This record gives sequence, C-alpha cells and structure tokens, in this order.
Amino acid sequence: MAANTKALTLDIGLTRDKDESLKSIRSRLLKEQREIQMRKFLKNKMAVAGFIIIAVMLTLSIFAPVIAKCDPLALDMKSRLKGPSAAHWFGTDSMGRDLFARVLYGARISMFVGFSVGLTSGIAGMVIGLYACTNRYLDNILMRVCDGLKAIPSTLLAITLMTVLGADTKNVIIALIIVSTPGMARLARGSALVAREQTYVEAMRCLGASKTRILWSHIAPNILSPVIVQMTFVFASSIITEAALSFLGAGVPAPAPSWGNILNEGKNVIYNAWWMIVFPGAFTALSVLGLNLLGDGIRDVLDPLSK
Amino acid sequence: MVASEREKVLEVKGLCTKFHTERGDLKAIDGVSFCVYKGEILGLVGESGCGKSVTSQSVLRLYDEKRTASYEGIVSLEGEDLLKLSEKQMQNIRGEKISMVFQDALSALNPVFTVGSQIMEALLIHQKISKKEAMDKAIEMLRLVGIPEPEKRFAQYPHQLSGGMRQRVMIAIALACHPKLLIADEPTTALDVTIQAQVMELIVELNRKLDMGVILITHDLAVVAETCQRVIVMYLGQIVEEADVNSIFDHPCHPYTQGLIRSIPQIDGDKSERLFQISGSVPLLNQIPTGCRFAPRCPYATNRCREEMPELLPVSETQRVRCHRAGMGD
Amino acid sequence: MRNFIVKRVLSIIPVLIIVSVVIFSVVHLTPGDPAASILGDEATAEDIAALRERMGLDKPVVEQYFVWMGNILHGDFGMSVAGNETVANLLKSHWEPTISLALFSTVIALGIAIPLGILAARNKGTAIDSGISALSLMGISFPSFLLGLFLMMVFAVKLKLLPVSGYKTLSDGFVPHIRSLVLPGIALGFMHSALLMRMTKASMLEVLNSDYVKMAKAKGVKEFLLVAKHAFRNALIPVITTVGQSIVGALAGAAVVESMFAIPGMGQLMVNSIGRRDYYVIQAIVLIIACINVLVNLLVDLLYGIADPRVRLS
Repeated sequence: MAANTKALTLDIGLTRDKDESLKSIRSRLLKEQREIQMRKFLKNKMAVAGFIIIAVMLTLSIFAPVIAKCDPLALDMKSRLKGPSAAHWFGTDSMGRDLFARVLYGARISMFVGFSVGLTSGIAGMVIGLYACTNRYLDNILMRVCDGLKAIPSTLLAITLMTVLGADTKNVIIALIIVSTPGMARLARGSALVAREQTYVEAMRCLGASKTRILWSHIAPNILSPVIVQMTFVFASSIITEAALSFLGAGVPAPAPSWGNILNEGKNVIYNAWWMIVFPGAFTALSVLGLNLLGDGIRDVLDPLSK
Repeated sequence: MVASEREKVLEVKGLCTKFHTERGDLKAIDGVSFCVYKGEILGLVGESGCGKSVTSQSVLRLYDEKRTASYEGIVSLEGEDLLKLSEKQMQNIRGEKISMVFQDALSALNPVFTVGSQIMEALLIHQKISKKEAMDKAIEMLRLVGIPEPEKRFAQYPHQLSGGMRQRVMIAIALACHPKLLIADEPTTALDVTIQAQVMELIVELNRKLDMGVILITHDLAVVAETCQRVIVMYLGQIVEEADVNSIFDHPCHPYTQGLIRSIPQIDGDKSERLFQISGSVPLLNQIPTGCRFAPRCPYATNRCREEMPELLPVSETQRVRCHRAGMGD
Repeated sequence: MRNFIVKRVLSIIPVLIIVSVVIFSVVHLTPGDPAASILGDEATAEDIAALRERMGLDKPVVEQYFVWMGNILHGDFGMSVAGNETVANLLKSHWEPTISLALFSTVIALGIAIPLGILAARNKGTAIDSGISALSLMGISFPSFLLGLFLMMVFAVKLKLLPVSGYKTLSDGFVPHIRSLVLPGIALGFMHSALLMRMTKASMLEVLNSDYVKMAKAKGVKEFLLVAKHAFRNALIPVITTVGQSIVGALAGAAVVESMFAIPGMGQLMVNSIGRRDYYVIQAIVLIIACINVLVNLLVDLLYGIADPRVRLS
C-alpha cells in the first residue's frame, strides 16, 4: 500500500511539500470538514433542540437512582392513585408506586433498548450490506431474505417474535434487531453500490488495492453517513415499538417500569388518573421527537448537497 | 436599415428585478433598457449568471411576485405597460402575445400529458375554439415546425420523442397563438450540433413567415452572427453594449465584448496559439463592485472605472456602450 | 405496458415464498418446544407428545413446511389452540372491522396530508408552512397507541363526544359505525398523514419549481390550474408509494389500536392470542397481512405505471 500511496501522491502532484504526506493532508481535510459540519449542525436550531432533548433523556436515565429518591417498585397501598404533589411529583399509580421514579427508570429501559438496537442493527446492516455488494450470489440471497423480512410489517414481526421468545427485555432487543436490520442492510447495500462505482474506487482498484481494503477503508466510510442517520431513526422506532409491545403485554414484563407498561396501567385508570398517561406519554413523545429532529439534523449536515 | 422608422414590438425601460432571499434582496438585473422591432431577431448574449434569463423571464413576469421577486421599470408591449397589469390580464398576454421557448425541452414539457394536448392547451386558453378545431390547429402547428407524421406524434408523450423533435414541439406550443414576440432562451444548448442548426433555421424561417419579434438568448456568438440583426451584451445584470450585428463584430467597443469575440475559436487561426480567455470570473450578486462592474476583470481599468459607474452612451447611430473609454476615441 | 405488468406480477412470487419461509421459521425454528409452551408448565410429557403429533412437529422441518404451505393454499390455517375453532373461521369473523378501520384511517391520513402538504408547499417559508411542519413533527412523534390514549382521554372520557371503545358495524347504521371509528382512525392515521404531508410538500415543491410549470405559466395557464392540473398529477406520483405504505401501516398498527379501543378485528384477535400462545392464529394473521403488503406494493407499482407515462411506456 505504501507504494500505492506514493504513486497517487506523484500522480496528483502533491510531492512539492515533502513533509506533508497524503495521510496528513487527508486528516487535515477531514478535520476541516468536521469543523464545517459542526458549525452547520449548531446553526440548525431544530437539530440542536433534538440533541438537547436526547442529552437530557440520557442524563435522566443514567442518573435515575440519584434523581428519583423513591424506589420505582416500592408499593405503598395507602397512597394509591394520588395526583402530582410535592412528595410525588408525577403522582402515584394504582399500587402507590412513585410515578416520577417509574418514568425515569422507564427512560432507562427505553434508552437502553433503543440505543442497543440502533447500534447493533446499524453494524449488522453495514456488514451485510457491504458483503452483499462483493458477491452477486451472496447479494441475491441476502437481499431476498431482507425483502422477505421487510415485507412483514415490523410491529407484527416483533409481536410474533415476542410470542415465541417470551416477554423479556433481552428478547425485546433481539426481536427489534431482527426487525430493524433488513432495512439497514438494504440501505447500506444501496449506498455501497453507488460508492463502488465512484471514480476514486476505480482508481484504487487500478492501483492494486486488495478487495478487503477497498471495502473497509474506501467504501465503508462513504456509507457511514446514511447508516448513522438511519440508526437515529431506528433508535426512535425501537422506542416506539418497545413501548407498544410492553403496552400489549408482550414486551418488558410487568412490574418493571417501562413506559409502555405504565401507559397500559394508565389505560385501566383512564377515568381517574390523567397523570398516568400524560407523564409517560410526554416522555415517550419527547424522546421520539428529539431523535427525529436529531436524525433530520445529522442528515442535513452529512448531506453535502444540502445548504 | 434605419431602426427608428420601424415599429417597436417591445420596449423595456429601466427594468430592475429583485429577488428576496434569506440574505436580503438581490438585484439580479439593474436598469436594463432595450427594444425589439417587429420582425427582427435580437440577440442577448453574456456569460451564465449575467441576467439574460432573468431579463427574459421578467418580461413575462414569470417569477412569483408574492414571494420571490419584484420588478421595477417599464416593460411596454405595443404601448401597454405589462408591469402595471393585473395577474389575470398578464395571463392573457402570456402565450398569446409573448411566448417563450425554454432551454431544455425534456424538462419544460410536462411528462404526464401528450404533446398534442400541451399544444391544444395554449390554443384553448387564448382562443374561443372547440376541442376539435384546437386539435386540427395543433396538428397544423406540428406540421409547421417540421415534424413528420404529426397525427401520430400528436398522441405521444414528450419522452417518446427525440431531443430535436421535443424542441420543435416546444416551438409549436410557443407559436400556437401567433405571438407578437417570441423569447427563445438558449433554444439549442441542449441539442446536438446538427440538430442545433436545424432548430435555429426553423426559428429564423418562422420569424420571417410570421413577422414576429424574437429575442434570442444565447452564449454562442456564432449563432448570433448568423441569425441576429442586433445584439445586446449583458454583464452582471446590466447592458454593457448594444449594437447592430455588423458593428459588434467589426468594432466592439466594450472590453468585455472584445473579450467575448476574441474567445471565439477561429477555424483558420493559428492552432498553436492559446484561445483567448477573459481572466477572473463573474462576481456574485451580493459582491457587486461599486464602479464599473467589469472593472475587476478589465485589462484597461483605471481608478475612475473602479469608482464611477459609466453610463450606457451612444458611440454611433446604432451602437451604445457602457464604458469610460468609449467616448475618448481610442 | 403488458410486459411491465407481467414482469412485476411474477416478481412477487419469490417474495411471497420467502415471506412464508420466514414466518414458518420464526415459529418452528426458534429454541423451545411450541407444544410445551402452548400447554404450559403443568402439562405431562404424554400431553406434549400428543400435541406435537397433532401439530406435526415430529416430522422433518422441510416436510412440515410443505404440509403447512399446502394446507394454507387450501385455505386451512389449522386449529386455534384455545377455542375449538378453526383459524380460518376466526379470521372470517374478524376481518371486517380491521379492513374498515384501515381504510377509514387511510382516508383520514390522505384528507389531512394532501391539502396541508400542498398548502405548505405553496406558502413555503411563511407562518403557514412552519405551522404545518410543526404539526407533522407532532405526528411522527406520537405513536398510534399514545395518540389513541390521549384522544380517548380528551374526547371520550373528558368531553364525552365519542364512544370510549367498542365497535358498531355498518349494519348498525352509518353514523354509529363512523363514530366508533373516528378516534381509532385518527390514532392510526395521524402518523401516516405526517409522513404523507412531508412527502406531498417535498414533491409539490420540486414540481412547482420545475421547468414545465414555468412553461405552463408562460403559456398563460391560470394560477389555480397550474397547481391543480400541471403540478398536482406529477407531484402525486411519488406520493402514491407512501399511500401504499400507510394502508399497510394501518393494517399492522390495528393490532395495538384495536385492542385499545376494543374493536373485534384481526388485530385484537392477534393480541389476545399472544397471551394464549396461539401460534397458528398469529402466524395466519401475520402471513395474511404480509401478503396484503406485497399485493399493495404491486398495486402501487402498477398505479405508478398508469400515472406516469414514462414508466408505462419504457
């Protein structure tokens, strides 16, 4: 590869400054680009708002034990279904548990599920997508399977998987990864196919770079931006689906304080405890909103064509 | 050819078009004045971004006046100021009195309607005729612009035709109502060289046959030399030189025009000599120089040029120039 | 055009086969014995063995698949584990509310999205545009069950304008039928209307800036016809795809919304089957909705061809 770099340097006439190798030029350019992108992101008010919402949500969920003084599982039969008060900021549920603590611990579950599903399906999708475009047969098989999985609406596939696997947080994550990966793989493959046809990849091939090297150091960075954007949206949709599954009793099992569980209990007491729906509902909607804003913002920043 | 005796179709005086953008208002053209005589072809040349297209589209008031643009000045068509008309009255002018041919026919023809229906639409808007009559007229128009088997083409969609064919269709649409003035905005740029010649020939032929005024927007000076009677050279939203076609090629006065003409490749020229190029590039609209707009790129620029904007003044009966040097008889 | 249709119709066959294999594998290849989990902890080994045999679980997997597939092609989806009812009969008595709800929510989604999308595009950069954008952001942030709960709380519990839950068929009268569908319909349709709105706006903006709209204006076409005739049809072509997705989304989302509003449709049947571990019912519903999805996508592509002559004739 050293020889290749040298050849390339000669070719584009950058040898005048011997101290500055191609690598340092590249890292300087990347740094500049990153600064420009940062500025662009900070100018986008909606994206910054989304970032702040998610940062707050993550902080709340990480420091839930510190912020909420009550145990989210501690029953208190004397103060059942009490409205918001100084002692219980968000009120209490039908078993006297502190709703503020439950909502914060619920943020923990949602953030954990959403983040792990987003990250894992992003990585898995990228690997599948990249390798799909190296071999036509592999591509055909992988993409047909993805099409088949994608043809099943994600909520329904998740429900089916949860029925088979059994209600459990770990299983929710597994089910959601299975549901989200095909879309991610399709996206990664599509971008990889475009990147593969670019002239510079052609040039690398002519210079004799190995297939693996081209795949991972030249094509992969180019499909990273759409995958990252999609990861944000998968994060959001995983929060929704987890809440929906738990709401139906097929997600995180009952005593655990997931937003979906709280909302399900809230539905049963809809006539006399509005706080059971409003608080967990607002947190769910805010997280999804924040992630959507953040995703849109990242997309605008990473898309070189957008202003 | 004594210009003043002939009938003016269009007279533009001090036309300014402003665009409202996020970074404030931008004056895309600034005080443009010219006229088009009946039956003549007026060339409008300049680099991209000089305001040729904005000028022509302002004449038809095609920009959205509610949000994006505002106009100032006078655009008078046979004595009627178009800028004072209501939107509704303007709709009667567009397509009926003034028509336009766009650069890229593939994107200017609506992909979901047949060629025939797009010609008929222009007829049905402006003339009180039945659908049957409009159809006959549309087929007649297709034949006029030299499309073989017009009955068959009538029912086809734009993407089924060749590039030259599509351009002919667009000309047919523009001429359907026999307008007084045709604005052709780079009508041949998107075409192959051989097709270009055919389309230009068609425009010249129809110009004679229908005796209408034509504004031909182009950056191809060879086309201008062949087809136009008079030429306007624009630079950065202003007219820098206006002359009849002979004067402009024989003794161009503005350094920019001279540069444009020198950059035409000569077939019998010295092949080893590099083609002339005007140094620098067109400044952005929000960085317009205070004095002469061409000064930053002009080889003869003096301090006066950089500070004081020259007027567009006549140097002969048929030639006007916007340059401080012009009056000094170099 | 005929080639295009034939090719497109044939292309759904492999997808359908893979869908069936995927659904079959999810139930049959996951760790654990379906028979044991259906019968629960107290079941004896003999009971489990008997059920395994009845379900055909003792045969090789590939054979199981073909038997299962063959039965389904004959309209036999197996027996529901819980009640003594065939799955086919259960589906027959539950499909109607689901279809009604899905169509109603799609109508709501389109009814909100198309006018607002066009309005936003025509008034880009104004307060109207920002307001509509904010509404669509709200839409994508409120999943259907959440919006359903809020709507139920406000309009049914507090204001008592509409029924809290329950379903009235069309034979009970048109007004009661619609009244029972309004809240679940909005809950299901709002998120899709947000997506449709974004799509309509983007596509309308692109078309309004196109040369052919400018050309039409230069021809003297009236402002209204410019939008209604020249821009609308072109702008709607990409929106068709999203409409297909929103119909399927409504069918899939019905699971949550139906059980919330006590609508006796396929969604509620499916959710009730989760607790009973009634695999055959769940399998059948998922398979049917996946097939509808594939067919809707086919239909969308064909419609695309009709709306856009460039697709039709190439």
